[in-house]
Amino acid sequence: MSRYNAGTLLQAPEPPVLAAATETELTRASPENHGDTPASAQNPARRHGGSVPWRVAANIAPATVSVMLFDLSVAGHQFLAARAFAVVFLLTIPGAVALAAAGIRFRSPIVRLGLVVSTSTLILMLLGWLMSQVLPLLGIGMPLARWPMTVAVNLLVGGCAAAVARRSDPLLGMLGSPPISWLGPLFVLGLALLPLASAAGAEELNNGHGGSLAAAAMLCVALVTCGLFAFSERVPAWMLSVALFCVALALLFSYSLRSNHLFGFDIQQEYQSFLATMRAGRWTPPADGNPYRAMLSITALPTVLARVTGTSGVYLFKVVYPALFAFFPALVFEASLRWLPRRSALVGAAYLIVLPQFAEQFPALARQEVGLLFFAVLLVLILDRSLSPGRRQAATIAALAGLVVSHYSTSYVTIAILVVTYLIYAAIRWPGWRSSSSVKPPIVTAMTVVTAVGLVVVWDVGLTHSTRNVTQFVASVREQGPDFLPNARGGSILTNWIKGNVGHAISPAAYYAEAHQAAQRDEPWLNTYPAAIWQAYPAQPPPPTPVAKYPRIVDLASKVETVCGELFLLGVGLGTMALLWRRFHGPPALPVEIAIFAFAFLVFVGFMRVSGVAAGAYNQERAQIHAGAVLCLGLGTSSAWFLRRWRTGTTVLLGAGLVIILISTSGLLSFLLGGSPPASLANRGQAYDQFFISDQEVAAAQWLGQHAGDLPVYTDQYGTLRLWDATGLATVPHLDLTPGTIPQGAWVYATAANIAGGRAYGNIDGNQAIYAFPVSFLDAEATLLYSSPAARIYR
Amino acid sequence: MQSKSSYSAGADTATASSSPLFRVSRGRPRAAAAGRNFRSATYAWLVALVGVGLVILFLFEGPLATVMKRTGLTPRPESFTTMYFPDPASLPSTSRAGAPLVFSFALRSYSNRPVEEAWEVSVNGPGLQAVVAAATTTVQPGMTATVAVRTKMPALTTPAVVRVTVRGTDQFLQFFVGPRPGTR
Repeated sequence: MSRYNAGTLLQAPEPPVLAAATETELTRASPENHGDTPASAQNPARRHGGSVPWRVAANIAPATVSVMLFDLSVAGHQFLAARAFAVVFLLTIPGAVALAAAGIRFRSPIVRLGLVVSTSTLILMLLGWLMSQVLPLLGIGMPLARWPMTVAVNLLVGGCAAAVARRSDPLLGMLGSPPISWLGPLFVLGLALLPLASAAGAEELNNGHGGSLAAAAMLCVALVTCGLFAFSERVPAWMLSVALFCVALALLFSYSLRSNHLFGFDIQQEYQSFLATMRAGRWTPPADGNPYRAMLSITALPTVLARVTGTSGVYLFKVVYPALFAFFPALVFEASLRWLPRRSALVGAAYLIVLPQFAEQFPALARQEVGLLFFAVLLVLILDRSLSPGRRQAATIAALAGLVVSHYSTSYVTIAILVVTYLIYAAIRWPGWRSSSSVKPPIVTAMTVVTAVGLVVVWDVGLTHSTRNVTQFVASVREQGPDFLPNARGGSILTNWIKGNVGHAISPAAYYAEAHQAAQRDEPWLNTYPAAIWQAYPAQPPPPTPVAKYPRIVDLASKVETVCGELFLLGVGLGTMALLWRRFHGPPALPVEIAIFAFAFLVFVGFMRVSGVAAGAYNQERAQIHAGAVLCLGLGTSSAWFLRRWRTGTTVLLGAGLVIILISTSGLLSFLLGGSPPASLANRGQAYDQFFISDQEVAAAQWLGQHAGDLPVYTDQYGTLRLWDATGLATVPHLDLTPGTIPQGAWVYATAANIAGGRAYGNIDGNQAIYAFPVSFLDAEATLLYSSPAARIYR
Repeated sequence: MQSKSSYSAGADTATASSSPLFRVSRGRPRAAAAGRNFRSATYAWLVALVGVGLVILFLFEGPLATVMKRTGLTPRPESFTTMYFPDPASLPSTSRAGAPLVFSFALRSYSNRPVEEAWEVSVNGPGLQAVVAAATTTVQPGMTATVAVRTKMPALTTPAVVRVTVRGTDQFLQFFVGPRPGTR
């Protein structure tokens, strides 16, 4: 089959003949010239025989104009368009000029854009850090304020552009070539409607309307996924990447844009870290080693973006961070495309997206969204062979630096596995290292590994003292050992495997009893109500949830989805082992280091799956997405094996499997057949109760923040999210909302789920309880000091 | 099926499509795209894209804002009224029959139009249920109206609940009042 440049519709098919060959300093095969942008285009003056000053002026003009527009948009930040332009500028142009200066460029548009965005992100974080250290010495107390940062960005972009302008236009490297047909841009615009529709659906739900638009958007996402998989061999690879980006963003928006406030778990604490930096106007290492405040991704980065552009911090977390993370599956696809056939690579990347935690959990993990963006860039760089070794090493170290300052857990795991990979590969190649010329130099070099470990030590130990997670993990291992399958309680091996490391549901009565025992044991000094009073209010089951209209169909679909999920997991495991096996016993495919790297991640996920201590330190679902970026090579390998033998059947089965999982995890099934839908499709259900924060709840939490003083605050497990969101409460409130544990005179914060839904959520030792909110006890015994239709405060 | 090596060259290598939608010429690149106008064509696309985006955002914020708000496609704050005791420490804890019951509560509007809230104060206890005060208060948008209540307390033998209720809703405030020692 013939081949053509995959970027044809967005780019010129091939570079035109270079002109002015006599001007050697311009036409030599410079790094800026190895891409798809013709040298004559990069140096327009050369075609006309222009002088050097003219050439420099022509090359620097676009960057200068963009900087001027940026300055104008910063000044006019009261307009939405100005704010949007400024955000896009900050997330692209600094990275574009820096990459042009470094001579790094990729041909794939999505890789180019992902690299530009991640580089800009790293620059903004480091710039925020440097400014915070230097400017206070010059008497500027708030270095991250609007104008100091704007001047710094101007100087940085101007300086890099000027350095590059002698050779080429610094922005053309980011832009690539213009499309030669309207079809490509139209296709992209059509795909861009997916996230827009998803955002509109979320807003419609927020305003109290039905979920039809949101469901239609999810249906389109499923159809696009199915269609792309079916026609993956017939459309250019860049279109598949763009489609993955848009599908991922649509899924992320369906959750992140729910509520007028932040949605999900963890993001409230991230937001408070951002607010602390924003108020201070500078980032300083946390005095208490607080890991949240040690991460530039949720402190300096959003502060710079919010201060300079005037964008609301809430919308940075709800829109910009998911947009950064949407590059993750697209970059993973591009990385695996270097070694796998297109359809197999697509299976791996699409599998990441359809996993439920991708859309449900990650919009609430801003720090890990940025961390995984750098991890995906790291994979692209590791798997790339087009860069020179020196450039690749420098870029790899930069990506690792971005990872280390963005998210601690992702960096710890990644660097640990890089070290293991390096050591194993060093052991394998040692006997023939000096004698055999066929042994390839390592991709993961000693310099990379040493620098990565050094970065972690300097940042986490030396500078921010934020190693609490590691020390806690080590202490837990010392105390409990790995704690394999802590919740395995008899039953079959299969049951223990599936349920042995996840918490289980406990009854309201058991929860009341355990909570009371825990309170007596841990806080015996609390002045609780007399037993005669609280025992008159025994635990009650929560109000019943709506049942599915067609329970048999829902049950069958759930089983099919479970089987599909397990089969995909089997494919991941077998494929990853096959990678290693084939590397030693078959024709060479993937570099052995990458096979080892993937296998190490498989072992890591397996360990997370069975070890209670590891799962407690780094959430299993999040670890799956992290490792999945590498393990999709394994899934791709196994699917490629089947596709080679049974092309049509495998295509149908894989596509159907992905769509079944997507329909199930997106909640379309429960939306259509009744039951408890996800918060992305309805204003009801468990996730809605838990994570949807209403204006009324925020108003109540703010009132409580002003009046609570030093008295203890009681709320249920998810009420605490409202308090964190609205008050910046540093401590965790008491979460056992039972008559036997609430002391007399304590504050009780009741959420919409408590008041309107009548249900409360509790957690004891990882075991979840749903019980009836003890409203009759509180109405009989406590003063009601604050009330709105969906929130109350008792004391 | 392509060989492995054909994929290792780079992510953007791909097989040619037989679909007319994605078919491209394999001959000499078109001059408009790849020739001398390459740079200006690239920037023309960029300017067009950014321009269209900015115009859409201007429309979104300006002329289309009302339409978007009406269709529920843009964020809209909730409209509601809260009630609270502005000074919880000053709430009476004891009272005697016929003595004045004095306290205040506040109504705060989170609405964009004035709201009228009809409220009543009742005293509830064993064998006792009496409405001791009632009125309607108008709250301006975004404002707080503090209502001072001064009424007479009915006779109490056991602790009773004083409850301020917004009529027609489930919204209420409450505090407990016991009989003053040595009095009836």
